[in-house]
Amino acid sequence: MTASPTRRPARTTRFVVGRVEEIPPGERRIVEANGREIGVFNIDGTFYAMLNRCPHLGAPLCEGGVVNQIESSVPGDVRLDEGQTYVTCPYHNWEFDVETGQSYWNPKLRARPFPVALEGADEVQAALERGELGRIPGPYTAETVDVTVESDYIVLSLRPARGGSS
Amino acid sequence: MSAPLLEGTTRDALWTGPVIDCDVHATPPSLEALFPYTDPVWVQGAQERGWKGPNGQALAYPPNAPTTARDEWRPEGRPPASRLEDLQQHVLDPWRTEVALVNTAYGVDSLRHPDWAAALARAVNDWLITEWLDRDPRLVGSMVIPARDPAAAAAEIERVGPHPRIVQVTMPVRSERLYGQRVFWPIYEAMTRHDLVMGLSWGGTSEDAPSPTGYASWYAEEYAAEIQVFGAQMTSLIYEGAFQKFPELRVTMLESGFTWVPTWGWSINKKWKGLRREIPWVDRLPTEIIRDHFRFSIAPADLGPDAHARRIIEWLGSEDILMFATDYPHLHTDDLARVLSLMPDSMRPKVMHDSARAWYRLDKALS
Repeated sequence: MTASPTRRPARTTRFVVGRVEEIPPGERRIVEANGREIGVFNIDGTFYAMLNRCPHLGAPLCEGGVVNQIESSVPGDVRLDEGQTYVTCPYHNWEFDVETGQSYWNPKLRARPFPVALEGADEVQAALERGELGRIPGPYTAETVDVTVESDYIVLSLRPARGGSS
Repeated sequence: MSAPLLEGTTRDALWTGPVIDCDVHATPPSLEALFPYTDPVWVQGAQERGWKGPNGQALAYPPNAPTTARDEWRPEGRPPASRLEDLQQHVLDPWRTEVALVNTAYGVDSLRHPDWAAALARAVNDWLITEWLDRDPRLVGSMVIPARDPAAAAAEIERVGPHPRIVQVTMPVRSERLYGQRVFWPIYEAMTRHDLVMGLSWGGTSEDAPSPTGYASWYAEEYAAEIQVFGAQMTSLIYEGAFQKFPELRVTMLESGFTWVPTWGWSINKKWKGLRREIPWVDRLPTEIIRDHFRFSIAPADLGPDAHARRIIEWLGSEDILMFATDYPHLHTDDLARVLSLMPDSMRPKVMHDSARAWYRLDKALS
């Protein structure tokens, strides 16, 4: 499909963040896409993305901590639930579920998560050539896609969808 | 008829509906008055030593301090609030009180003797039941415990708690440790099993200074600053998870005032939001826990200007959490007509009787 010369191409909503190896487990990268700062997290091999803006007072949420849920039914019963992860805001330490963006203490308050996919080099190269994928500017840009390397690429989607993906 | 709170007005002009007074005091006139209810070993012990009783009461309420009793409520030749007939004449009759909750502190916690303190608590409770509750059907009682010894305290609750007209356990707000701590849980276990309310009352003997930090220079300062201790105990009970451990636990704050509660609530809400991982059992906003588990007597009310006071009452976020009290015989200068005028119409019957009736299960207690 080629874009009609008389029509402006649709704004890109998917971006190549980089190769999977560039963000190892436990690390994160804050990137800019379509003018928005977005944090991309690798949590135990699963990638998540979240707008770098706390829904409380606009603090750079993705610069905060990454912690698991602590389960407790009564005092003295304290268990770590590694199946649930929060990003904590650097201002007030409020916890936001990394998958849904939901605040722990106020379920009506949500940070904004974005879907992340891992795609193969061929696929990414083709999408870039078709103009369907944007590149992220900055030192971490996937400037070239080396299709000879068997590596997955982290692809961030800005479409408003909930939930992370691997 | 001596009824200072009704001076310049009539009971019916203030309030035509029923009145439940959640805080009137009964004070043993002397240690000797408790001897008929005291194990002989302690009677002789007191006589051998010339001991006149625990000193905590006089420290919390210096006998001649103006706040300790209204002049009109100081009878000749005996301490205020030491005789049922005085309470009847001063409060129950003029107010046509439907039910009054009698709180007896007597400074039991200021006696550090582990056996004697428990014996003293038993004597005070039996005196309260025999000389007050048994003699006036309008009265329900708040029992005392040797709070420094949670096992002994729980045993006393087991002994007295089943009495149908014992509805509360008095715990002095100043204590050797913060009440949310787990060492006190046997007390709350017994309390909730007998469906009793924890009555957190002014006074008590801390292990150190009576303020959270150091000794006040003046009684006035100590008197005014006790709010801090109420706040510390409230925070402790909430953050330590006492209400998750004991979902039936109910606490009445007596003589604490209430105007500080909304802003204290905002503060402990905010700190919980950011620091709650340390106390993960606290699973909802502290202010929600306050609304479900705490009640406050309106004596003293400590109101500021009308407009501000009206807003503070609104900020409490519940029409259910204030309860009428005279705090007989202590002196407060709040004008009840004004206190009531600052509340929505729907709140007044709750304050004057409905909330206390439900909170203390009075229909069951008096059936």
